[in-house]
Amino acid sequence: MARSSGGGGWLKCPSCEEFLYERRLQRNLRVCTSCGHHFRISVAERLGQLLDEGSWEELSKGIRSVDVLSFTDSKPYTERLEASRSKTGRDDAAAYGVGRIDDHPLVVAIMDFAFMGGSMGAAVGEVVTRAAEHALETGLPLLLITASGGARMQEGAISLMQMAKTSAALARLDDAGGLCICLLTDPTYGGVTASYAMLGDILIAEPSAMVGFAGPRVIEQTIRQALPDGFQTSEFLADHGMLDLVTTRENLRREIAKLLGHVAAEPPAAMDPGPGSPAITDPARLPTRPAWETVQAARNQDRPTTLEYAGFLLEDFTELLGDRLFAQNESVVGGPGLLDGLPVVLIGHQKGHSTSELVRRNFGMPDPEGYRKALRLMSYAAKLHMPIITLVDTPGAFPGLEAEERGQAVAIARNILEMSRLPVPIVVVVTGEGGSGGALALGVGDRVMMLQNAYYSVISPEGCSAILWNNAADAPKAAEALRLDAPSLLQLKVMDAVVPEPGEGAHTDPATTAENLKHALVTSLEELRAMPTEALLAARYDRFRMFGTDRQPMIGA
Amino acid sequence: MSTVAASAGEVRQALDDGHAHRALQGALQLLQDAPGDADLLALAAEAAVEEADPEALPLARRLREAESSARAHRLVGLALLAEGEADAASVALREALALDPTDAAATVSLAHLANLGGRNREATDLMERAAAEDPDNAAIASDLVDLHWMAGRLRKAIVWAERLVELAPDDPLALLDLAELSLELNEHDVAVEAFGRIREVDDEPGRRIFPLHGMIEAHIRAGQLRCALDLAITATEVDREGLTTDALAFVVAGVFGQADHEPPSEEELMSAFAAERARFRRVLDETGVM
Repeated sequence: MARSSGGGGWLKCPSCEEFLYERRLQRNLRVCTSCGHHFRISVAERLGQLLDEGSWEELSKGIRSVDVLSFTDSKPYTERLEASRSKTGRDDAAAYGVGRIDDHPLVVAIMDFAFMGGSMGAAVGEVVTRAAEHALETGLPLLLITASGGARMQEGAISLMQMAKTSAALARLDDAGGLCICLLTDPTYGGVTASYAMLGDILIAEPSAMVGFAGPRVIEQTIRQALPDGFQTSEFLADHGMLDLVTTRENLRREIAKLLGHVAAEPPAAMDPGPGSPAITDPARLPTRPAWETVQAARNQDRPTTLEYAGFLLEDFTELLGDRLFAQNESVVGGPGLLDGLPVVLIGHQKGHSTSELVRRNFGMPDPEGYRKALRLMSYAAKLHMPIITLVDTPGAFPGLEAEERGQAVAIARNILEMSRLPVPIVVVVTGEGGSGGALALGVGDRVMMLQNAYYSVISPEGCSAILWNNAADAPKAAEALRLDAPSLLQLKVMDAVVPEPGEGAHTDPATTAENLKHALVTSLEELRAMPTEALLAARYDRFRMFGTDRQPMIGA
Repeated sequence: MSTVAASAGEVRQALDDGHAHRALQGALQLLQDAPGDADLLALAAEAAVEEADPEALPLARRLREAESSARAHRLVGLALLAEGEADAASVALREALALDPTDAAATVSLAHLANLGGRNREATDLMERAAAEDPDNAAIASDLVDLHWMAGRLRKAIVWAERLVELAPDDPLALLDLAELSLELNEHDVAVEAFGRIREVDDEPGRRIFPLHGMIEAHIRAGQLRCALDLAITATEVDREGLTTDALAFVVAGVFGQADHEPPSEEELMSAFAAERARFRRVLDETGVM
């Protein structure tokens, strides 16, 4: 049990029941050295672990709830408040102030579960609201650290109103482009989860933290069914698309610092494209090969994936998860990072090299949740004025029953529409397979390029062959006829440029391919970020408006 | 306000008052003028151990070089424990105990190390020795409850649980230990009383129902279905769903021969009560460390 032995300092882990030496536990950030269970920690410990030493300055002294309703249960509310104040030394269940993480200044609001279970009354709502307002006034990022059983019953409808008040304050911060990160700690429930805890741009939780709206006991009693193992844990939420990151306490400060660093980074005056070869814009300079060979090369399982390119191209890349609606889709990945010092958001289809990874990634065929995650990340980029890079490599959107039920077409359509008007530069590169609408859902941009051995097509050669030749074996013929390779697409202006591949293809030398890719991206972004937003959007409109008009080049004309 | 303690007395006071960081800073400052002062080194090492500061081990080793005392070996042992060096810590703590057999802190840690090594009997003997040295230490009593309970010595466990409740009468976890052990030993009256006390000492609204369920369980086990029925009806005033209605259906069926919905079997009900208590034990555990 979690009492410390006087003079001995041992306690029992509530998860694995192993006895732990408390100082060892403390040294390990109060994470069980045996099973990894993250113990709940106090406000002081949390701030001590996250913030730069000595940087915390509290601004919420004196914000206290009062007994508006003259509420009494087994004891008067005023007595409960006084008991909690005496136990915790705090005015109420939340505090806010300013501090720094890795030298990045920010506003922090933090909840204290030890104070009446972190319940949200008027004072908590006021603390969170003032923190959001302070972030808005100062232009600093906001970090909300939540721990709560929910709304405070003793304040009746006034506690309910805090959900509206805090959400409105966060809406203003959002409108002004302010970054809000929420760290959901164990436990976060009820009205807190259903308002500010879930309204951050980035939602982070520690492993196994319990987060939900209704408590598991209430749900079990309502539906009279046993709930699955791991229900409402942070991992469960992440699987269901609700969190960006589940990270250990050890990595928490570093992950938050990276996210703050992306926002704080001063875009470089000039970027270095590096040693890679420049992209090719003249179709005559491209070697020719049978289209079917190109299709085979594009499908080579050893070609680099989006995450591998991210690792090569970006510093401090943070993969963010989830569509915040239904699920975490593994076929689309993305997140912010620094491209030669420039904060960008990179998004792409993700395949894999092994059978197990390919299965996990559904062979790069996203469900609607993948596209919705992509759009969420694009909105994040737009809000924070970060250019967007998308890497396309998919046989197509997943053609499945559930995908249709959850609006596959709606998700693709919405992405295509939104990408046409996002007010930041967008550079698209088809790195492997560009399979139809599922590719275009990440494929609308100011510059659209492809790797030399990639292909881009309205339908797979096999599909086309089966329909038009009544025979899948004629796929090579179909591939040729569809003009799906780099020289043809460059000629048709579907592509603006082609990124050269070394030797026999990207899979034989991923590093050189990535260098060439970086060269193309940096060169494109240097041009695009110099353009005023209005001109950027007009040119993007014009780029796609041209197709099907008399400005459209023709093959062989 | 964090001010550096300016004398050995102030350092001691800061340490006793729980301001280990301040004590450590003060002791380190004083050590600059008297680097060989064993008492100052001991204070610094003790504060560093308390603070789980990485300097704890070097300071404790310096102390041990200056004097081969029980306190020096104990502090080295505790600092090694914080580093995760269990074997080396055990050696140092045994040295401490050889020099001062009354050192309760060293004994407690050795007991835990023995338990981690799977030597429950040795752990229990050591812990009982620590209890003899420090009889009013509730944490040691609690550890003894656990050690006996883990080894299935329920009679001995309940003796320590009773002692624990004497030492920490308002600790809901101590009362829960006593209540659960009483249930296992069919001491139903003691269980009912202990669960009742939990309701008195823990007025957190979210935790009001589980001790009531415990009382119902004790009455059912004792065959006192009318008492269980009264309590189940009371429980429905707090909770109208799930386990409470199952419990009500079970006792109504037991008293009147039938209930308005299918009652669970006794085994299912007891198992559900136990699962609920395990959940709340964890809640109380987590609350306790905040």
